[in-house]
Amino acid sequence: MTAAKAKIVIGCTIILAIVLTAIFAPLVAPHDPYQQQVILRLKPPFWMTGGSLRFPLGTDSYGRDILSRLIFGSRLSILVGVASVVLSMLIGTTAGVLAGYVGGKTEEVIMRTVDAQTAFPDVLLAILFVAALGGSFLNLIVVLGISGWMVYARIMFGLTRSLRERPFVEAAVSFGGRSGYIMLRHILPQLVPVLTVVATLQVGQMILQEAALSFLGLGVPPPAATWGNILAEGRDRLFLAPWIANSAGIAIVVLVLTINIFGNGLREWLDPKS
Amino acid sequence: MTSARANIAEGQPADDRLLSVRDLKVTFLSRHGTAPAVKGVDFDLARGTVLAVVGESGCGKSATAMSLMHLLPRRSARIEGRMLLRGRDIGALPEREMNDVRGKQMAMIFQEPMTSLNPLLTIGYQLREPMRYHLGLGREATQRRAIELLEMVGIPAAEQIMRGYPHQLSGGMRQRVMIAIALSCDPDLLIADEPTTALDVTIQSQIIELLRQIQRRTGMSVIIITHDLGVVSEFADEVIVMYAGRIVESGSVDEVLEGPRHPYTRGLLASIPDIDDEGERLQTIPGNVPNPLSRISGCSFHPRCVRKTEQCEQAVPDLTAIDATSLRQVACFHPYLPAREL
Repeated sequence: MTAAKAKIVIGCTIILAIVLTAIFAPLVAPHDPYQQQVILRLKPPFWMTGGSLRFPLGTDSYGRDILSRLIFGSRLSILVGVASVVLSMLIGTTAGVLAGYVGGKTEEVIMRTVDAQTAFPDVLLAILFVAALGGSFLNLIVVLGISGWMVYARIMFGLTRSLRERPFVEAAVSFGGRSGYIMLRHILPQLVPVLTVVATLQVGQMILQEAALSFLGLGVPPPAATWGNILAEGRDRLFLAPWIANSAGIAIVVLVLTINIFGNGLREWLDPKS
Repeated sequence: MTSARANIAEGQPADDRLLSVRDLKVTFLSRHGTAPAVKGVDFDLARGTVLAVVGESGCGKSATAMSLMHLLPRRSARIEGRMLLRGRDIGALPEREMNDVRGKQMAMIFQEPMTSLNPLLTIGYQLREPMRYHLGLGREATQRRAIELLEMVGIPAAEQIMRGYPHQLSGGMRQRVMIAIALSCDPDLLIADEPTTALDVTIQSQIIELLRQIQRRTGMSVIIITHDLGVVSEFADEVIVMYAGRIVESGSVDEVLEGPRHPYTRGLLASIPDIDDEGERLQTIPGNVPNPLSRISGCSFHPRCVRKTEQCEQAVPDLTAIDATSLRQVACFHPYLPAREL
């Protein structure tokens, strides 16, 4: 119990700090993330020789301040993470509850689609999408949202099936409740705790996915400041200027890890057995 | 009770029947094969009559009730036969139309009052929702009627209770709420599936007394499923004894309880502990209810029966009338003699 609370508090604090930084990026960032100063290119971070506190995390190959780019990049990462999770949660939960409650052919169609898409590589789907629609912020959300709904569908399907047999659901049916009413009023609210935990953990996953797609050049195209773009730009200079890729890498790891710690804490806290 | 009995003796005109079940069969489809849970059940229920269905666990009592309400999962239960409610075959109704029957024409209360209410919704919401849906009542009307209903089922401080959640109530109180919900739309038929099994003994008799009072006042018909023969004698007018998916004996409560003709009914009655028989060993029926997956030739009860003969092992006895003066029926080749002749 205390361990769960500690995880929630630690996770919440760090996430809140990152989210606040993202919201107030223009106030927090020391420089314009897009301002190129070729003279000041490839400056190392302040703790290395040749570095200065003017560019705390150094500059990239165009002389842009990496810290500022990271701060502005967090906006996109968080926004894409949350928005795609909301999208996939909506699709997946609707599909899962329908499949679990209605059963029969509906179940077969939905769950076999889940199986089929799970067998299909996400990145390939993303390439297809971006090739067809072009890389943009909105397309990224759609791609990630559509590639992630199966998790929710599977979990909600299983839970709905067991909930459907619960006495209070049977009782509600016996009093004449229509299917839509039963699903919305009696089944959905019971799913909220699990949904919260899964969605939280998925936000981390989606941020990771966004970074991966941007790294492959399938995300929001450069020069946009995104963590994946910074990572991709740093790839070419990995030996000469490792701080570029490292800074973005560490930012991604810290945010995803924190979200996971928070999500796990939430799961333990919501688990009636602990 | 006497009037109901007179009713039976005179025979009811067809239009007095609220419910007619003909050759109801329920078969559960499982991975291990098909399991017939109900194997052809016929019965009639007159308006204002209380019918008790008794038998051990696994006799098909609940399956019969659940199939009447369309509550069995369609993918794993096959239901055959006719179920006429006010002359309309509800067995064949599509779900959409069934929603208008459930709760309005017939309502059900369940065995587990602790889990039959949604823990996340207020008592008030759960009580008012069926009235809003079936009767189209507005907020004020449902509120007023909900308070009346709660008072009728003996719940004090109704307004306060309505704002509360199920976990704040005891099992007996929750069953009272369930009864209130079931009665909210004035159903013609109330099906009570072992409504007192999960409750304390003192609460049990209160709930049965409450059901009896309400039944008298409203004149609705009740099917009560129970294995408590005390409940049967206190509450019911007619009784059906089921064994392994078939009716083995039926008739008025007085006749059946006072002079059981079927060996199974007799065994059930003998299994009730008697407070005067101090120190005597409680009688039981040897053996268990057969697994529905296994096939037994002849009368399903013969492996446990004290009166079995070769005939019982080969043929299934039909449910036949045995008295010219009553609707008493028994399915046995060797029934006991009427009580007065014993």
